[in-house]
This record gives sequence, structure tokens and C-alpha cells, in this order.
Amino acid sequence: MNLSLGEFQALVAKAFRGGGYSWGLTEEAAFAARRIAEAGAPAGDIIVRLLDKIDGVPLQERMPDSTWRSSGSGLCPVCVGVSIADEAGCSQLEIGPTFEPLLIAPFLASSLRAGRATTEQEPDTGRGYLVEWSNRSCSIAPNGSLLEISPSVTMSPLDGPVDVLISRPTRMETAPARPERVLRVVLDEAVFEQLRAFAHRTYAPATEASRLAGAGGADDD
Amino acid sequence: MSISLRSPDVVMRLERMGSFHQSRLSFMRTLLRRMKSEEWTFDRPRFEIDERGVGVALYTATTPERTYTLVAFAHDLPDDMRSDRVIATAWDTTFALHDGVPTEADIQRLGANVPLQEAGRVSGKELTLSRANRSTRLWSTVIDCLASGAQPDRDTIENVGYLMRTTAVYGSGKFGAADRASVADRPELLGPFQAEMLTVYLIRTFVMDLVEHMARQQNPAAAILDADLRRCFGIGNSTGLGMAPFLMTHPRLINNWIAAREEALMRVRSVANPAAEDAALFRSFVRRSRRSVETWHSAHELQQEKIASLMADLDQIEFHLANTDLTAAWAWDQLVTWCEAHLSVEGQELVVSLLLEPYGHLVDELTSDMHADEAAPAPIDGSRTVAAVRKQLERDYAWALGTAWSEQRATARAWYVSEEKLEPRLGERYEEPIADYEQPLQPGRDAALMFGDLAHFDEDTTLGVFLRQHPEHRHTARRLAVLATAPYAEIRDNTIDAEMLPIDLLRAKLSFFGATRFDPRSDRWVRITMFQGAPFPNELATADPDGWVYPDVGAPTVEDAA
Repeated sequence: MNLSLGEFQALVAKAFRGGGYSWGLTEEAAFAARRIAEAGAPAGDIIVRLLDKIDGVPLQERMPDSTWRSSGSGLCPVCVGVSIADEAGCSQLEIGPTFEPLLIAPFLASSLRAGRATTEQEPDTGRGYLVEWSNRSCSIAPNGSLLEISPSVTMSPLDGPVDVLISRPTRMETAPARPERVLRVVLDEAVFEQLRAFAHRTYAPATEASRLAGAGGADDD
Repeated sequence: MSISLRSPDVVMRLERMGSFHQSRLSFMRTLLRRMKSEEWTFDRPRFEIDERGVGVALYTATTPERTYTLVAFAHDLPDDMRSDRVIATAWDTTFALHDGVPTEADIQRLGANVPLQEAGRVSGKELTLSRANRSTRLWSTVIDCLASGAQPDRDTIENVGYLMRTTAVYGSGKFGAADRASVADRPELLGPFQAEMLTVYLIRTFVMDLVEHMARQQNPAAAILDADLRRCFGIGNSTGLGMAPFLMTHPRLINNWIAAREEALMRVRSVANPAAEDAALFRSFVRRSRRSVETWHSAHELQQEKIASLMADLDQIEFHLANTDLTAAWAWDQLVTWCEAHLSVEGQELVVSLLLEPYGHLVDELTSDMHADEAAPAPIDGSRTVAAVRKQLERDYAWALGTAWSEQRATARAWYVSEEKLEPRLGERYEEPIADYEQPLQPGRDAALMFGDLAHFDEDTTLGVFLRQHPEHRHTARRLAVLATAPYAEIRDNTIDAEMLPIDLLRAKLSFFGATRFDPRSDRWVRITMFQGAPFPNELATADPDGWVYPDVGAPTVEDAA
């Protein structure tokens, strides 16, 4: 399937809702998915892997506690991301085992874009972020653009949750020539169907009464 | 004297939003003003429609920078398959707005997709997708008249208003079309719904060509429509519940629309000494709008009452104006105050729209601030304290905190999406098994729930900590973040009340499109007319891009200047 970014974002939002997230979190999760898709990551695959892993886990167990650990099997990167964004960014941060850590990156980018990325230790120094996990990484420029996602993120997907390190490097690697921004999301049929299956959980079984009350049906034109 | 903006507590009530009228700021009028000022050119490079009315036609609109092409497919639809529903499976005509000039391969591709509903996909090279059906009332009448060499009856045309009715115009990335973000750097597409409005405008031209083509199939010497009569045809539209959630899911955009209109009203009210010619213009627009109201028919009891009270309002306005010097100091502000005391809400809002008419130089520029990019969720400031959040809730949701949510009638409805057709629906919460599927489209109730849960936290606790324990309030926290800088972002009424009328939501949005002649068919869907009276592409160069909305009843008279 070849989707517009807006279609992909809407589908992911429904899928997260179907996966047990609150409405507010689904909006942010879907935007994060759009951002990594725009940066060229296989966003559909990542979302499906994440939702599969934490399906049925209570939302509270996906949330970080005060030490950035999960009380369950692993953290949700969206829950980690919003927690950092709510605090307007972070300085160096070690986070316990987290599924699909790439999805944290858009939240760091958003906090930079919101212009609120200051911390007690570091009043805004114009620094970006570096997110590292299991020999993989994503760098984020001070202006909030996702710069570089290590190829292994795409080439060898992770199976379980891994520790994550977020840092504020003083010197960013020189940005690679910025590739054309991705404007479409191409999904394998299987990934598309899996997202649709999560989304489908949000639909109520139809009733005859409500169908008749919808638009149209008049014959007096 | 300093004039204030109207309060959101007044403006953002459903009764008032359901009484909004089109204005200078409406998206159709923005488009027409731009097309004229930039001297867009139009062409019909292809019209290959056979004697049964089946085929393809291309209509181009060329700006100073680029070309857009409406690709129109005409079909031979049996009468029993015609429906207003967006979920229909077949239409008389189907359309896509292509970004540029389509190749043969593009046309083939669109021909294989555009006529299909869910399975039909367009590509990033298309901006919109639309379908339309004939008004069976008027279609054959007009063909028969023209074929017999006669012109159709003007009253009949005005009463119906259109030959075809669109079921939906999809843009902004729907069904695979280009994302708005990918084209919003073009000035002509930055304003809201400009690609959709251009689509409808070109569809209107195609439909008129098609009806004359069909008349010629009956009689090669068939009459062509008189230009005046031709302009009486708009394009119809049927809009149902599918559009209603938009008002709640696009708070920043809605704020920008309403804020522009309120700012425009404030600017006009702030004119200290209205000029005689502006006063005369306003009087003439009042007379012309009476003619519009006279031809506004609705089969729906509620709208009939509203139209009747609007006619009574117009009587009152004319009597009042006959005894009022509109060039007196602060005459416009005094007129608004008088309207608030004497007219129905429908009448008050009509006057708001009419007041903007003479003041294009003061208000038209506001249309450049009516867009919003809502792809990115508004950031939540987690460092705010519980005390500060409660205070904002008390300010922005006072009506909701004062609602008795424990009464069943206050939560009688629930918004949900049905499995069957994936359409947004409004159901009866206590009669149908839908509560578990409720969409977040009841901001008032949700704000009240958040307010209740905040009471269990220390005043100094941060919002971030609260939300980690109560992620279910995150969407409300975001609405609060939006409301901090966008006072008109939220409807200040209960969207799940037993008595709520979804058509009020639809009308608010459609009025900003520039729709006229709202004709509700139930409490949850409405027919409207678009571009009725508008100049056609070949007339734009010499036409008034604004005054067409109101029927011409002659030049301003001595009476107007009084």
C-alpha cells in the first residue's frame, strides 16, 4: 500500500487506540510514527512490532517510573517520549529496557522545536540529542530535525526491550546531505493488514438504528 | 472608544454556530478573489463524452505559477442507484483534481480508480477526489427545455439551486491524495480547503457543459443557457455526520476561522465614522440578502422556523434602518448592540456577515491567518501545577463544570465509528452497546472528569506527574494547551446532550466554506448549495468576485443612500 503521510498517521492513531492507549497518547504516538516515516525509517514495521509486543500489557506497566524503569517487561517508547517532552526535554538520561527506542527520538525533536529544551544543568546551548541503544542510534539536530538513523535500525530489527542512553553531545557529527523528505509511506500488505487489525478494535459493531439515522436515504430530490 | 472581541462564551455556543452565514472570509470567496486578482486562465482541453453522457473531460485552471486539472468522468447511472450517501458505490460523475497536466497514463489510472469507493485510490499527484449525482428534479427538466429551444424557468432553478450534488470532496491526503503539508507552501493552497473549493468550482463548469451536451443529443440545435440563468446554478452538497467530528478534532483551525471572523467584526465595529457610501452599500446588501432569504427553502421544521424568524428579523432591521443614521459616530457598534437586543441569533449572525461586506479593505487580509498545521499535536507543558490547571479549567470550561453530568440526558449520546462502514456516528449511549467505543468528541464531559481527578492531587503537583497516573486525561490536557492561546478553539456546549443537534456543527463548518441555503434533512444531515450566482471562469475577468453571493436587485437606490 502506498499511503499519504496523513493516512498513515490516522491509521497508526487508530491502531494505538486499538492497542490500549489513551486518546491523548494515540495522537502523539501517531505523529511520532509519521516523523520517523518522513525520516525514512520503516515506521509501519516498527509500530506493528511494538503493538504486538505490548498487546495486553496494562498501560501503567508501559509507563516509566521515577527511575525511568518499567514495572513490567519493558517500557513503551511513546510513554517514555511524552514523559520527556512534558518535562521540556532532558540532559543525559539512562532509561531501562524499552521496546523500539527509535520512537523516542521524535519526542526529543518536538521538545527542541517547541523551543523549551532547557534543563537545570544546561540552559539552552543549542545542542541536539543522541539516542543510543544496542549499537544503534539516532541523532537529532538542535533545530529538531531527525538527522541520522543508523542503518542497522532498518537492517536488523530488535526482538526485545533494550537499555537506552540519551545524551546531549557538544559536537554533532556533521549532518549528512539531507535526503529528499519522504512524502509517502509504502507498507507491505501484511504490515498494513496488521495495523488495520489493531485499528479495527476501535469500531463498534453496527446497529440497524444508527445506520438508518446516517446521511442520505432521501428520495425526494 | 475601544471595542472588544465577542467572548467565546457567547460565540462558541452550538445555537449560534448553527446560525453562522457565509461572509467575505468564506473559502469560496477567498478563492474567487485570488483567481481574479492573479488573472488565472481556464481551459477545457478535452471533452470526450458520448451520446449517453459517458466519457471523460479535462478542465484546467492555470495560476501565474502552475496548472491544476480537473479530471471528470461521466457515467451512465441507473436511477435506482443514485444516493446522497458518501458510502454509495456508484455515481453519475466522479472527479479528481490533478496537480499539473495529467498524462494519458494518469487519466487511465484515475479512470480505473476514481469511480470506485473504498477500493479507489488516487496518488500523490492528485489533490482531491470527489463524486456527484444529478438532482433528478432538475436534470431532465433543463435538458428537455434546452432541447426544445427554450430556456428553463428561473424560479424552478432558483428553488433547487443545482443540477448536481457532490457527496463528498476528499482532500488532505485522503484516499492516497497528496498531503496538505506537501503543497501548503503554495500561496493559492495555503488557505483552508482551497483545493476542494477549486474542485467544486470546476465541477460546476463541467456540469453546465454536460447538461448542454445532453440537450444537443436530443436536438443538435438545442438552446444554450442564457448567461444570467446559467449563473443561478450552483453545485449542491449533502453533508452528514462524517463532517461533524472535524469541529472537535481541529481546535486550532476552528479557532483561526472564528477568530478571523470575530476580529473582522471588531474592526468594522471600531469604524468611528462610517462613510456615506459604505452605509449605502450595507443597506443594499440588506435588501439583497432579503431576496436570498426569500428563495431559501427547507423541508425541515426547525429550519423553517429559523427562516421565518429571519424574515421577521429582516422586517425589523429595515424598519430600524429607516430610522437610523448609519453615518453617525459608532453607528456599526450601535447596530450590533441593537441586533443583540432585538433579533434572533440567526438574524444577529446574518448582520455580522453583512457588516463585513463594505469593508474588504479592512477584513479581507484576515483570510491569510485562517489556516493551521495540526499534524503535530500541541505540546503539553508538564511543569504546570495542578492549581494552575484547575484554574484554567474553571475559566475555559465553566459551562462544563456547571453541567449535571450525573443526569442521563447530559450523556445520552456517544460518538463512535461503526464497524460496518467506518463512518462516524452518534448513538444512544443507554440504548446501544457503544460506550466502550466512544470517540474523544465530548470535550466538556472529559474536562469535568479531569477536574474531578485533579482534586485528589496536591496543588503543587505537576501536570506531568498527574498525567503519568492519569494518561486518560492527556487529550484534555492538550486541549487546555491549545486554549491557552486560542480562545475560540472549543465549542462551549455539550456535544453528547440528548437535545444536541449535529446539524449545528455542520452548518458552522459549511458557512466558512461559503455554503448557502442550508436545508437540513434531519437533525444530522444537511443539503447546501455552493457557488450559486458565482461568475464562471470565462466571466471572471469582468465580474465582481464578491457580490455574486447576493442576488442582484439593482443598483443602490436613493433609499439606500438615505
